Order: sequence, then C-alpha cells, then structure tokens
Amino acid sequence: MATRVLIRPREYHDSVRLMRVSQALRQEPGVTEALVMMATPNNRKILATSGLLTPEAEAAKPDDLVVALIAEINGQADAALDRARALLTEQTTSRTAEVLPRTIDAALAAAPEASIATISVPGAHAFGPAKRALELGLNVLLFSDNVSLEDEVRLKDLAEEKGRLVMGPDCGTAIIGGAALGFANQVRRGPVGVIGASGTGMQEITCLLDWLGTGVSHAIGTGGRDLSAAVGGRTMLRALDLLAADAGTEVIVVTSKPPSPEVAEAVIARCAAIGKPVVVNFVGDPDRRPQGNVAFAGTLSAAAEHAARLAGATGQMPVAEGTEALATGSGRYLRGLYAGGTLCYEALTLIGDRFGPVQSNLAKGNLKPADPFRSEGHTIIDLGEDEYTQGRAHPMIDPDTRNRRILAEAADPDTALLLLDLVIGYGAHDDPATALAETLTQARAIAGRPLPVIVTICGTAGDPQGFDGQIATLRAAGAIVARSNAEAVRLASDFLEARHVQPA
Amino acid sequence: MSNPPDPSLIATPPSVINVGVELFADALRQQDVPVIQVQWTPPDEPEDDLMSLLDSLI
Repeated sequence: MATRVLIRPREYHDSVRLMRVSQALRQEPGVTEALVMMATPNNRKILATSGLLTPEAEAAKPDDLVVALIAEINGQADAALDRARALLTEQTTSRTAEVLPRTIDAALAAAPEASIATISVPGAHAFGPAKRALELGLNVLLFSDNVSLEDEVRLKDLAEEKGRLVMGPDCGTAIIGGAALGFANQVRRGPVGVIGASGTGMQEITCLLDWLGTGVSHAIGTGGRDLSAAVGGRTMLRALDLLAADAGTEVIVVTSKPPSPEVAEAVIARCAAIGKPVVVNFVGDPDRRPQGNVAFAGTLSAAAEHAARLAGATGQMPVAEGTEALATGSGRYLRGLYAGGTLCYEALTLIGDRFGPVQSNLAKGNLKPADPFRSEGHTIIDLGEDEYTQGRAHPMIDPDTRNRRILAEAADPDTALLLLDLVIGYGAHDDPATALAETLTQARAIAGRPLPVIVTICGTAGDPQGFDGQIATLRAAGAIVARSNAEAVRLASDFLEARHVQPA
Repeated sequence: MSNPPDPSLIATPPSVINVGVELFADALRQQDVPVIQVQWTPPDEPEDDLMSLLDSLI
C-alpha cells in the first residue's frame, strides 16, 4: 500500500468542495482511501483512525489543507495526488467568463436588484459579511453557526433599524417567493406561511403541506437560537408581523423547539393578535389548549395536517411502505442516526423513556454518550452537531460519517432497529437514496441477520432527486419507508413494544 | 413594534447574493433564481512570527 499526505498551508476551500474532491479521488484507480480536509482537531482524529496522521498532518493548523490518500501501488498514489492538485486549483466557476466579485458591495453593484444575502462562511468570520449586507439594505440568510450570542443580537437589532430580517444564525432553510434557499424543497405555492427555528422541521412541514394538496406562501427561518431568552424571538416576531400583513398568507404555522417561557408567551400573544389562524408547534411540548385563533400541535406532522385543513386541503396523510419487515429481527436496542436536528429532537421527545433511558448527544448529563462514535443501549444521534461536523460538510450533503456509523451499528449484535432520516430537495445530496441503499446492503451483509431499517423520507414530487425513484431505491434495499418522523417513531415504538422491550 | 419590517423580503421575486458555499448558488441556478456568487476567502490573520518581528521593532 502506498500512502501520500500533502499539506497545503493556509489554503481554504469550503467543506462541500473538499468533500467533492475526496469523493473524486476515491474513484481514482487503486485508491482505497482519500481524505481532503482542513486540519481541524476533529479531522485530525479522522485521519488518525485511517492511519493517515503523519507528523506533518499532526502539526498542521486548522487553516491548513490536508490531502491524504492510500492507494495500492506507488504509481497510483502519485497519480491520485496529481489529480488532487488539479482539482484543487481548478477554477470553481469556469462555466462563466465573468470575474466574480470579492465583496458584497461589488456584488450589489453588479446586481442592484438583489434582496437577500445568503451567508455560509465559517462562523468566526460570519459577523462581518452579515453586518455589511444589512448596512447595504439586504435581508440576510445566515447559515453559519458558532456566531456569538452578542453578535446575533447586534445583527438582529441592526436589521430592525434597517427594516430588514436576519434569518439565522444557524438557519439552513427558507422558502421565499417559491425559491428554495439553503436546504429546502420544491413546494407548491399556496396560502400557508411557515416560520421556524428548525430547518428540517420546516422541511417536513412544507413537504407534508405539499402532499396534502395545499402550498406555501413563504417559509421563514429564524435561526436555532432566536427563541432563547437573550434573543427574545426578535426574528420570529418580525416574521409574524410580515406574514400577518401578507395578502398571500391565510394560515400560519410556527415551529420550534420549546422556547424560553417568556419568549413562548410573547410569541403566542403576537400570534393571538394576528387576524389569521395560527398553528403553533413547540416540538415535545405537552399539549396546550387552543386560544382563540391559535391552535397547538404536538408534532411536525400534526402541525402540517392541522394547517392544511385550515387552508381547505382535503388530501390524506401519507402512509409508510414495507412495514412487514418489522415482523423479524433480533437484538435489543434502537439506534437512531439523524442528519436533521429537529427530527432527531422530535424522535427523542416522542420515545421519551418508554423503553428505558435513551442516550443522545442532544441529551444532558449521563444520557450523553461517553464516546460520540459509539452507541450504548438505545441511542439516537444528531449527526449534524459539531462533534461530527467540524471541518466537514453537513450530513445532509456528505453521507460519509453516517454511512460509517450505520456499518458500525450493523456489526453490533445488540442493534435491533435502525431509524434514519433521508432529506431530499435543494442543497441535499444528488442521490441520497442510492448512497444510503448501498450502505444498507453492506450493513445487512455485516449484520448477517434480519435488521429492520426505518427511513423517513422528507421530500416532494417536485424535488430534483425524483421522489418516487428515491422511495423505490430505498424499498429495493429492504428499507421501511415512512413519510413523517412521527410515523417512523410510532413504528419503531410498536416494534420495541412487540418485542417486549422493558425499561432496564 | 417600533419599526415594522419592510416587506422587501417577500414583496419581490428573490434575487440573491451568495457568500460562501457555492452549493447554495448552484441550487438557486437550478431553480432559475438570479444569484451572484461572491468569491470569499478568510481574512488574513497576521502570522505569529511577523507579529513578534513587529513587536521586536517597536
């Protein structure tokens, strides 16, 4: 075996680009492993696991780029390294002859009709561009996370001053005027407005609205921390006002993890003052009684259904396929591996402690796994969290981390059931079902026994990946395909109950 | 509410300036949404040895 490790100091490429280069190198003749990544501490651990942490790689800094690969023979390794160099120096926009602007000011000069700046630079550097965009009169979708609380409040106060909106930080999803921004789906236009602190939460809701026959006016993201006490729901409240005044919005859905109590009350009070029906979904909150025009829904799918009925839709909720596979299996524990944070959180709240304690990286204290890369007992993991994504693309784009984890779970005889989400739409992987199906086939071989897998698919007929084809691919790999997270969790719970799984 | 939000976010068809991951600009082009990509690179941090050189000169 021939190993090559190349360090390119202070060379930056975004994580998606690096993932694509890694994937391309893995296709090169004789290459058995290829990792092209920024030398962050987490990535250095990954290099170490693959035997690629040379002294140079160890000494590299987070700003340095590492190209590490293993090939069968020297000639192949050298050829692959040359290919890496070529891919990295390739102009990213060779498709146009234009020179790209280097600043937001220059971009606005070239495109004065621009209304939104979408910002996805590393969190430590995100405040500057976001502030500049607001100063220039743009609205902001701030995908970056790890922006300080103080900076978030500063940006949102500046937005208020300028009469604009900051969607974020840590906001990956929006649908504005039918345009999918970030990770979002192709959803029919219609009278339901959605506002969410939860990206995949908004994705599931908007996809179900589409299925049920209605549509979305706008889906506005607020960022994950907007409803904390310190931020006070600044973006949520402004978004409510915006949709209250929007003639195209007749019904509003609000979705978030439970806010701080004062913020929850402020949001509900604002909802009550809108002259339109509002469905509020605080994920995992115990059911609240309706208050005038404000109804409460306990799950994402219930929120979507309720809103659809208010909008006059008559479609039926979709049903899972392939559930007969739940009749067999061995092992004791549920292993949930999620790319969507809100879906993971919802699963955790729905399963609760019905079957004994459930470990999760979203939990606290002794329910947080000692080793983030090893499941013990019932375990439900959000693979989009920092411990899994430092210096790497999000699992909705880069399936590698989750694929490796699926194989590890399959090798564990205690794993009884896998629970996964598959989100399609813009921003997501080109063909996530095929990538997952290949892994599931490998997993089945490793397990050497029936291993039921429930996959919740989040998408619409209009999405670029082809919804029906994605479902068919998953079904062909033996997966049970659910259409909402709540349904998937119900199936998983029924399975565990039928196997008489008792709290420890 | 002191300063009601300008409906600019939703009033006109969106036109986007993308700073960062090009994937998002690609997705907008797929939808025929006007988008312009900004070529962003991290701001230069001063090198440690340059800083100590400056310190020794001052």
